[in-house]
Formats: sequence, structure tokens, C-alpha cells
Amino acid sequence: MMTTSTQQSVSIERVETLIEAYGSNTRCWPEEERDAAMTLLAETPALQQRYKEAQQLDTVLLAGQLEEQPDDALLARIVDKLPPQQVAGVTVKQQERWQWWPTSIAAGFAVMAIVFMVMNAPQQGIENEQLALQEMDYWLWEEVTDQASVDSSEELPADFMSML
Amino acid sequence: MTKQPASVVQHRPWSEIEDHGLLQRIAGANKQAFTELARRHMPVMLGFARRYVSSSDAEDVVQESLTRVWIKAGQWQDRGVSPRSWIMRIVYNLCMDKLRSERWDTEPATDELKCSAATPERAYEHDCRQHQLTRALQALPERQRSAIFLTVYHTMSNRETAAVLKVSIEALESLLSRGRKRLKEIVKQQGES
Repeated sequence: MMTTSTQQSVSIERVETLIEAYGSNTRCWPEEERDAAMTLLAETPALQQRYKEAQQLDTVLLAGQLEEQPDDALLARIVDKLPPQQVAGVTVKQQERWQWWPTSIAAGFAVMAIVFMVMNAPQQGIENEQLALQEMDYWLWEEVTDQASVDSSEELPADFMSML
Repeated sequence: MTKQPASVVQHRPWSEIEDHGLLQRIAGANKQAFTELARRHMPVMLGFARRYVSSSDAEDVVQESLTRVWIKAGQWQDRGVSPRSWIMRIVYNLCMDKLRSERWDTEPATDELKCSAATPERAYEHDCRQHQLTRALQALPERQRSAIFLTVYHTMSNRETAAVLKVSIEALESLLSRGRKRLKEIVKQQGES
């Protein structure tokens, strides 16, 4: 029985199990047992024999190792076709829609206000213009005729147009 | 995503910590993080899938697996299982689904097996050994074969492999021991015949 300060203790039977299960590649052995198991392996000829047999099988197995590289074309296709994400049954698209909702309402109001102002602006302008003309008419009429009480709707004097 | 205590995270390999970070970014619909994670795991995913299904089906499996990672990244929880195990678990399940639905014939084509140890060309000998090995691996029960694929060819740790196959460490060691023992017998028989 071997024990290290940070590692679990292992028995010969346990090292046999590790060799049978994980083979000769000690990197595959459980990390917490590895150092103690390797120490015991180095000290035990019976275990070394089992280890050699495992090595032979691993040599055969590793002949079947396939080299795989990232497939950029496949990756590009996958990224292109990614659907909306899901978080607790709500898609990101839906979430985004809800996130934009207050902004959309504010923008809607702003657009309505602008439309209202634009639609009313020319009419108001015309009204103002008419009012101004009326005032001007009145002033001119006062000036020319010196009659303050004359209704602007009354017919203007004949020479009025030439004064403008 | 549930955060692990710092003491747990410290003992993890750096690549696993990076995967956690990438998954968090993917949960925020970050395609750059997704691409990075996919590039990192795609070779193992493809390699594993190609051992079960045809090459084109393997690409479909990888595409479906990565799409699921993208969709579910926000729901993924760190419960001590590495992101790689989670991803490979998805690949494994999809491969099994494909095999079940298509009743994929695991026997290699007959003409591929017509090889002789007396053939002089080394390349051909290599092909023969490959076919013999493929045949030997295919003779194993599916769980034993998957356990060997993941630990030997994809160097996954015992914990990761156990998570992919959804078994305990003890059960995994039993699968591996029985698989290797059976494989040894088959290889020995192939050498004698």
C-alpha cells in the first residue's frame, strides 16, 4: 500500500484495475491516484507485465486514430443557419422585441407629434398670415382713412392696393 | 448560469474555464464566442460521430449538436461537468438516435475485408490492419466501444467520459475493462487466422 501526501493510497489490485480499464496511457488514469499508482507500478514486476500487455493493445488501438481538423466550410454553414436562442421558453428575438417595446412606443408618440405639427403647421401659418394681413389692413386703413372703427371686412378704398 | 465556488474552478484545466466563459458569452447571442467554441471542439465531435455514422451524417450530427449548444447555452448549468462532456453527450445522443432511426449497418463492406497478411505493400497492410481494428471495435457492445473511443481516441478524462455515457466512474471502469479484454481476444483471434 502506497500513500503520498496529496494522493489517494492505491493497492496492487487497484493498479491492475487501472491498467485494465485505462490502458498504458497513464495520462488517462484518474489524477488523484496517478502518482501513487505509477510509483507502485515501478516497484512491482507483476504489474509491469500487465502494463506491457496493455501497451500492445494500445499500439493496435492507436493505429486507428483519425486526425480531424476544424471544418471551416461546415462551421460557416452552421453559423449562417443559427436560429434564435431560447431562454426559459422565450426566444432572443422575442426578448429583443420586448426590450424595444418602450422605445417603439416613445418613437410612435414622437412620430405622431411630428405628423400632428406638420399637418397643423401650414394651416396655422395661413391663419397667422391672414391675421397679420387683417391687422395690416386695419392699420393701413386707419392710417389712410383715419377711421379707427371701420370694419376690415368693408371694402377697401380704391387707392389701397397701390399703397401695398 | 450557476457559478461554482472559486476553489472548484481553480482545479479545473484552463481550457475548461475558457469553455465556461465562451458558453456565457454564447448565452448572450455572441456568434464570435460560438465560432471559437465550435472550432475548439469540432475535430473531436466530427471524429467521434464518424466512428458511428457516415461522413455526411456525421456533419449533420455536428451541425445539429452545435445548433443545440447555441440554443441551449443560456440554460446550461455548471454542475461540475465540463462543457466538453455536455457537448459530447449531445453528439453521442444524436449518433445513437441516428443509428436507431436508420438501422445503420455496422458491418463494414465485404470487399474492404478482403485483405491478406501476405500482401507485400505496406500501405495495403496498413489498410488491412485498419479494417481488422474497425471490425474488432464494431464487434464490441456499443457502450464498451463508446467508452474506448472517448478515452483512447479523444483523451477524455474518466469523469468526462462517465458524464457523456451517464454512468458512474465504477461502471465506466467496468465497461472499459470488459471492452479492452474482449478487444484483446478479437485481435488475438485475428492474428491467428
